[in-house]
Amino acid sequence: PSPARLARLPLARVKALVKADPDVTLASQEAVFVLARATELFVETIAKDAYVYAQQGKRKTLQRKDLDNAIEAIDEFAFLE
Amino acid sequence: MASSSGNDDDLTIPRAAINKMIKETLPNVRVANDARELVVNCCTEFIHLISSEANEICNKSEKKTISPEHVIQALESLGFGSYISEVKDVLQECKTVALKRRKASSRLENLGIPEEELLRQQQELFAQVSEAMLVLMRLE
Repeated sequence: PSPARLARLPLARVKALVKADPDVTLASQEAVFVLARATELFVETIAKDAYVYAQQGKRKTLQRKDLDNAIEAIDEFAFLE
Repeated sequence: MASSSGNDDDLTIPRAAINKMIKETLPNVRVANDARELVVNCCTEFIHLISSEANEICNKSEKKTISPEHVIQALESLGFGSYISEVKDVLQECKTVALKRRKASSRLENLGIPEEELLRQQQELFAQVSEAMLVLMRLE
């Protein structure tokens, strides 16, 4: 069985975001593709991590504070603080 | 809903794409609007983070173009190593598609008439033209 596919991010937009960095000169199409996939995984991860806090609070709605908690607790998300 | 081109800094991943991803990840969960908004902005930050790091890695190598390997190294060094195996799967897909496309286009070129045959047809046409001109000159 093929793995569930996450919605694809629009590659043109990802590329535009990469190019918005003045230091970046060129990125290959494959590099943009890889970055888009990584970003999808990031969304999946942060959503799941945040949801843990909603569950702890016995809520069925994911709220902004759940994301804030996840960002604070998880080392890799420190860049978001 | 495309916005008119403004500041590059206003660029984000479209909300609809984020909503769809969240829905696929947490199927039966309601998500507050301000939480969605935060995820959109976090994505932008994530892309900037990884591409900056990849750019630095690229600069240190002799290459001028950020390659997928640079992005992978960036993910590793920034603590997102767990994403690497899935990301490599996608890269493999990429390369397979590119390879198929190259094979298909070279097969198409070969469907045409071989060069020797084209040359022969050209010689024949020239001969016909010469003959026609001779006829015309005699008629004048």
